[in-house]
Amino acid sequence: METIEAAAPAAVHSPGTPAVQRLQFEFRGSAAEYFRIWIVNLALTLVTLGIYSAWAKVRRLRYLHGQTVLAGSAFGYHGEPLRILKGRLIAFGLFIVYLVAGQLDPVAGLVAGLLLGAALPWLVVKSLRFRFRMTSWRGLRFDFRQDFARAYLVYFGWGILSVVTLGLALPQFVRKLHQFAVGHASYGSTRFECTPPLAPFYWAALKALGFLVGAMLAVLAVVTLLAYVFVSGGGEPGVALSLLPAVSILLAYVVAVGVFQAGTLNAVYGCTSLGPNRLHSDLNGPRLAWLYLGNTLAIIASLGLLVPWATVRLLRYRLATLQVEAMGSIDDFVAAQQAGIPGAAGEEIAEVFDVDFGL
Amino acid sequence: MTALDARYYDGRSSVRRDSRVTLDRGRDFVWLTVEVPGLEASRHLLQSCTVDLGVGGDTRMIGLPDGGTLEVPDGRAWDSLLARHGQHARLRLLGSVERHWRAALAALALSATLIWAALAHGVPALVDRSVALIPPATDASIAAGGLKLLDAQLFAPTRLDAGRRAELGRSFASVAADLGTDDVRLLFRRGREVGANAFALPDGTVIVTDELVALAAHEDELRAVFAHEIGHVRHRHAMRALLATSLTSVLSIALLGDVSAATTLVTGVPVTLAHAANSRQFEREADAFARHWMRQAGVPDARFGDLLERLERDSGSGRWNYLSTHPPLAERLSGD
Repeated sequence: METIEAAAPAAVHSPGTPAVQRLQFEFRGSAAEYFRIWIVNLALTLVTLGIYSAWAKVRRLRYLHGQTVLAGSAFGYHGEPLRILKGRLIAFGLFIVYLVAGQLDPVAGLVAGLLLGAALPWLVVKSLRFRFRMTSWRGLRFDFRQDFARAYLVYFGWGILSVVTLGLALPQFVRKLHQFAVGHASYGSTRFECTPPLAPFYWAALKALGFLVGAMLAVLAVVTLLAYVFVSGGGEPGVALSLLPAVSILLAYVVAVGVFQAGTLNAVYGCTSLGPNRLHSDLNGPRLAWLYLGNTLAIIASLGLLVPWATVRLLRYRLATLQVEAMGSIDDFVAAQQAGIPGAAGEEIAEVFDVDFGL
Repeated sequence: MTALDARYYDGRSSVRRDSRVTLDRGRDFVWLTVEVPGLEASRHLLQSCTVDLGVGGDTRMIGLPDGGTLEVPDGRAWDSLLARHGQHARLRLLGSVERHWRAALAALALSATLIWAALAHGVPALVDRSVALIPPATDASIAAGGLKLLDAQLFAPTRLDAGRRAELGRSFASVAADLGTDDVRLLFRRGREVGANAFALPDGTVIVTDELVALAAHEDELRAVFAHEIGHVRHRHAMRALLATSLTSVLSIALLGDVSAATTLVTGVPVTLAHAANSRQFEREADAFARHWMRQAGVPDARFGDLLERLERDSGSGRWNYLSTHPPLAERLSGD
């Protein structure tokens, strides 16, 4: 027997069968409240010429984490502003060097770019570690096992393979990435396990590709028609018409990403387990794509003012489609042996890059 | 003494316990006491606790120094408790500012003003200061790199014959002499997609395309173009444009921070807008420079105007970018 609970979970026991609770993630915050926090902290950041940005980021993330609730308990974000600021200053310095090098000599710029590319798996690992370690639920921290060898294998092995095969290996690359990220994560002393099958990734890719091709053909048709109308009317096409294909392709791409992500995340979450508990995700491709499309248009139209609204809108949907199927008691988790050593070298620098592949 | 209900997590397991939390003032410090039925009460220095672990909403999250966490559902009561003990005034102020719409709107107005001020005044001022600091060697290396790129991607070797090139070279030299500039040189290229156009590189190299030479009906038209391009060199427009774009991107990233998909879209906008606005300003300055030379040399204004009109008529679909980075034609013809 299983029951579906919203806030306080109650297990229903039946002799002989283990108790299964379905715990629903929720987002309790509001776009209005997040906007107020976001804009006040943005103003403070601008006034302090960017120094306050680390405090602003911590404050925003603490709001978003704190309003994310599972089984009646909220998540916590433990990032420390000073450490984040140090990391940001270093990363900023590196960025300036990269920019200047690129301007002075195209070769130097290329070398800098290659170095950055070579460092990418390292940055991804450090960044993931930072994000997991700074997140907690019910007082226990998440963690991430650093496995640089594996990271390089995934990026330079599967990544390059997907380029070489002109994208055919891309779904497998995405699968390996997610598997790496989730599979090396842990909550307290319990490790996550993630073993998604390959098929859903290819299905998701096909759907997304189909949509993208269809959208591009539609855009081509519309642009040709508009161009014909303009030219035969004797007018000049103008800047707007030249921008139209680029903007439409951007939007089509955004929608394709939504379709792809829904399929892949459902597969990843659905095969993720933590001890005796499993995750369950039922993201809807068109719905997620519509969300992304709306968000992109809103952000462009509002010159960025609607970013907080878009963030909340997306987060709320992502959480509403995520549940935990708890086969055991959720009180059973125990802290990891070495209590979280807060941010070692490189994590705060990597934090700036905030690599986000939608986990 | 007010005790508040709270949920307690000991940081060693994921068990949730109900508890009561109180604040009291010892000799010099404020202490936080957590009472959990069945466990020993624990007392912590308030200043060792992370009081703003949770932001906004109704619930307050507090991090305890021993690794435990408290969730206080009645946030307002907690805030007043803190106020009564005079603690964390700045934090409470920030929290109450974030709660009020008027503050948010004020913050919005302030942000918009600061961003506008930075782009419209801050960046140009910084660019002016920085341009003076850049040594000629840098100009030369950037120009060399730029020319290599242009030759590789855009241009083809010129088809003008040696005689015509020599003639134009002499014209160019005389205009340069009139303007008292001697560190400029003229190069010829076939423009292909770029069509009829002229460019000025940071080190004083001026490039005219075969197509522009063909479009000109009179030598003075080309000499006006030379003056215009020399104007770009004199005012160091190319370097300023480069600096402005770099500065704007750097500023956008520093201030609008977190590099994520959403904000990348937004940070690109100020850079593009600023670049276009800058370009138009630079073109106006170069036009003024050209006009100044034309008056000095006794060349009628119409020479430049005629060429511009012909350029506008000539520009097809691949050349719309010329129009958006230059001021509107009517404005250029009327001039100052």
